[in-house]
Amino acid sequence: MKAALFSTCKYHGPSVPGGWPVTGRVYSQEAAYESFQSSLEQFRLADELGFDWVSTAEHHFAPFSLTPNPMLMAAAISQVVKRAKIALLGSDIPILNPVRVAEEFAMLDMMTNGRIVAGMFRGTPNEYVTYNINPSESRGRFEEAMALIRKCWTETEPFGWQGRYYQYRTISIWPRVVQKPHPRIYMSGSSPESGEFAARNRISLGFAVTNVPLAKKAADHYREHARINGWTPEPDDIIYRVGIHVGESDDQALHDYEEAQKAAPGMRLSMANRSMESAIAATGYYGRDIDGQRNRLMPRSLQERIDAGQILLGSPDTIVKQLEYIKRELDCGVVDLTVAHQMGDKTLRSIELMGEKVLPRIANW
Amino acid sequence: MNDVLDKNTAAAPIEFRSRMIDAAGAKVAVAEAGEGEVLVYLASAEDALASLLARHNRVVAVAPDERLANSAPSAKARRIADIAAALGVDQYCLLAEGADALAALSLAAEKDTVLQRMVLVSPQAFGPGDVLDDPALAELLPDVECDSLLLFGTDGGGASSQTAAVHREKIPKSHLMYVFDAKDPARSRPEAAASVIGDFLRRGDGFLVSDEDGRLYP
Repeated sequence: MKAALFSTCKYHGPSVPGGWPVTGRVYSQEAAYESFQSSLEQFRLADELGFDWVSTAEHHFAPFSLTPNPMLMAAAISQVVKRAKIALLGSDIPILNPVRVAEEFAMLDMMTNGRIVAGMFRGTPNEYVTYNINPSESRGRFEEAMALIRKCWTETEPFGWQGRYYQYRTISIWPRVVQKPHPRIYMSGSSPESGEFAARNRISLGFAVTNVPLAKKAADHYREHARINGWTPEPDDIIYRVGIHVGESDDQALHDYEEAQKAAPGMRLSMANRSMESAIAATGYYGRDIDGQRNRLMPRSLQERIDAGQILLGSPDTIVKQLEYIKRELDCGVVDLTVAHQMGDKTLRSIELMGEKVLPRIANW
Repeated sequence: MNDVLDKNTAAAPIEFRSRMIDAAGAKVAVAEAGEGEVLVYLASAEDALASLLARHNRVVAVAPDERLANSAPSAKARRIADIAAALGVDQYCLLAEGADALAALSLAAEKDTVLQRMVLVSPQAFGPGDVLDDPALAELLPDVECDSLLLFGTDGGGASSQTAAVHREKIPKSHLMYVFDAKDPARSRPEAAASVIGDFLRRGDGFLVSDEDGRLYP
């Protein structure tokens, strides 16, 4: 099983608790700079320790993430991570210009000589407010944007595009992607509609902001629809994202984590603004499994999260056991490990313990 | 402003009037509707696409002529030129579908100065092996000067994508346009096809440049 180190490049400095979007009234440039440097240092360390991938994502208007453009973050990462693949998990393509996304992915693939993993997600519901896109168009825009991005990567002649949501008269991107026919694509697969679309189009799936029982249900749905469409997903076709903190012992890991959470700024996104989230839900954004999809986003206690495989916490031995549970239930080929970012040296030690005492034991799973 | 059609309006059929014309001695059945620049339409007037284009063009749909079924593309091209001459217009545009693209290309290769713009919908001038049966015509294609638009659907599979790229490569001055979520653009997504075809017929190569007003409010 492959391991990825994921960071949203969380801001750890002063901020005002509350809803979304988060005010910048007490924003500290120094803290933001330190947070960014700290993320880069963690990625560099992960590369040295043998993590297979490092990964970044797109979120807006909150201290949860200082990477509203993950392409920029990936470009920065590419200067310190020389071996591991760099995964963008993902780019929120329905709210972006797909041609620009195709160009930026291609540019990154060139810069890294073919080490880019192209995650294309719908994003969390709040993202639709960010650039003023109607959430009811999310799925239609996503499906068309993905088709267009693939065409940008594979079509060598200049071409135009007459879509439902996108219209371009002529496109011919430079640079071209290094990986042929194009970098591996992952999409979010928590909803039944997403799993079915991915299965129809032979796209790999990433699960985030979920837990093992829900991800298992969604992965089974995906595999069943892949079978209907005449193919069988490999383990690497499924990524499971999970929070993690590794300590020298279980008690120390728990203590460190709880202390860090007390000091962390508010990190929630959509559910930090319930009236907005309700309005988005009313547009049909969530699809036919609306209750299940909204429930995924609800905050849970630490113990509930541990029990459901939403966070891995403990000594290396405990972490391996928790990973065994994830592997057994999901048969995923990649775990995308979200480190507790705001713990300074303890975060770095957690990454070291992962690299030295956990990764060698899961590499051949 | 691109006012070719309201993007959310379903295609409303326009009635075509049938008549016979004398094209250099040959009686040819055509169906006509609309006003404006002439578009010789080598496809069925029953198509929603024909109705949509007739909102802004004088569409002259030419029924397939069985007498020319086995003729060379150049003979079919001559018939198109004769029809245009019979219409008495200084310039005209041409739309051809599928295998009729060969006749249209043959006409364009002859540098017919009356032919202003050409639209080829899902053309099949070249086979999977990139081969054009008429080597003389193949040689002339790089020099086609008439503004040309090649329209393909994205749902035709890999072969269709390959065919599209080959057509674009062989006709270097043409514009390749994909209609998303369509196997057969003229029938699957006629509004989308008509919008881009209409803009191209109106502005030729200039259609590359947006003329839409992006302001939301004054």
